[in-house]
Amino acid sequence: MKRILGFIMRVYGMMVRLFPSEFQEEFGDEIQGVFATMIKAAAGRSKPALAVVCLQELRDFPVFLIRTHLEKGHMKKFFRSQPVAFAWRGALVFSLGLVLLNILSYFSSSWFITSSNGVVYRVVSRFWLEEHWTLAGIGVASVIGGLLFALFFSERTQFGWYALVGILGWFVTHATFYALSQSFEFDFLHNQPIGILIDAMLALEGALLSVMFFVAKSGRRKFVWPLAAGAILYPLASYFLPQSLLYSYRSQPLLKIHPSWFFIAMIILVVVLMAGVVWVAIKSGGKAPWMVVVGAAGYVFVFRLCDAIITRLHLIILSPTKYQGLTVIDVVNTGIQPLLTGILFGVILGLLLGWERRDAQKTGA
Amino acid sequence: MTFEELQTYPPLTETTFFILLSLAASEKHGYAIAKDVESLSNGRVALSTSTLYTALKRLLEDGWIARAGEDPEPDESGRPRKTYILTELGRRILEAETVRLQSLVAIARTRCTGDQI
Repeated sequence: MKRILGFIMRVYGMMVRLFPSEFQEEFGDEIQGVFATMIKAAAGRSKPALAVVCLQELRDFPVFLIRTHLEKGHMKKFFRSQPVAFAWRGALVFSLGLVLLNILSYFSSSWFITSSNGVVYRVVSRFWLEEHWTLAGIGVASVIGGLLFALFFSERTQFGWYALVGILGWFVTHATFYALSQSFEFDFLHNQPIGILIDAMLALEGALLSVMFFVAKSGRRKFVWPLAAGAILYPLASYFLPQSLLYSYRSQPLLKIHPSWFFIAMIILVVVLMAGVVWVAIKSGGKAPWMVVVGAAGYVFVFRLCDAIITRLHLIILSPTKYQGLTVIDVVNTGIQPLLTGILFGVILGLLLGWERRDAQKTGA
Repeated sequence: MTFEELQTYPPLTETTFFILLSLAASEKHGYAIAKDVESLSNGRVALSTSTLYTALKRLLEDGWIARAGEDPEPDESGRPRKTYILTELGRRILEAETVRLQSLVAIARTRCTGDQI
């Protein structure tokens, strides 16, 4: 129970930091003291009593927060505050990037098949990642996504550097995930234990992005290089590792990867890369290890949440009406799902990084 | 400020009324106010810290309450607890509100039961 109370207080402490600085100076400690006493008393009664106190606080908090900021024109300051500014930028960058990635991938697959009398498609088809291989679309989206990242987060003189971080940190890894998931029947990928693999890949994606995000903003450039190496290694190893494992077992290359080999190879790869990311985060110091945890868990959670929401939407979309070859479900899958995922994940990361920066400024780092 | 002028104030919210009422007896810190309000309202009004401090902040700005000092007993984290006290203006507003409520009750009683004021 002590740990739960400690956790609740930490979350509440973060909430209190959303108030204007003058308000925090005047009432911050006092409010936290009263809340600590309240939850301790409630916990002494029962767990439901504790839940009621917390829910009551959650219910009243947003109104209180807005009212405090509205008084004396604090609203403008609130929206310009570091965590909020980072949150909306994060939401914008990641939602736009994801939507773009999905749209370009969606349309480029048909372009591949028809372009140059299908020559490009035939070349790409020689790889085991054969169906719906949308390399060009993903590549273009990655570059644009990286540029967006730099545009919203970098200082002007470091634009190129941030663009590189943006492309490598996440869009490449997401492209890898997307390409792999499109390379097999979707049903197969969602079967256990492959479902675990999807979550592991998502966790890696979220962790890598979070730490990249952190080291870029905190100016710890030397830590970007091992992360960049990991980001480049990821798609390459995704291609070669399953094949090499299979080759050493049967002494012959196979064009088609068997699901179990694919699973083993990919799990090994993801675990190794994740260990690397955690190592870099620990070395980076500050809140980087927290960024890994929140990034990894947050991305899996957000992805699954949005997936569940979209599945519900599918159930209520009864009419598969086509408009210029697109159904409503296509639009939902290609546009709304990544939009929602990007917004939620961007907000989570932005808030966390915003707080990190505020801590760093306070301590003069 | 005259009693008539005090009565031109808009009716107090239930939260404000209970907080003033709580402080009318003695100075208190935030948590003690919340507990006292809960007790005064027979558990009906349970103040969250958000609601409590929205009200306290506004009452401080309006001069209805003031900071009295620090409670000798620290809070859970060992920090000293700031206490609040009702100001003279606050006390007179509370009295005016009580009179207003009394007259409302009297009117209601007359209408409902036929009693005379």
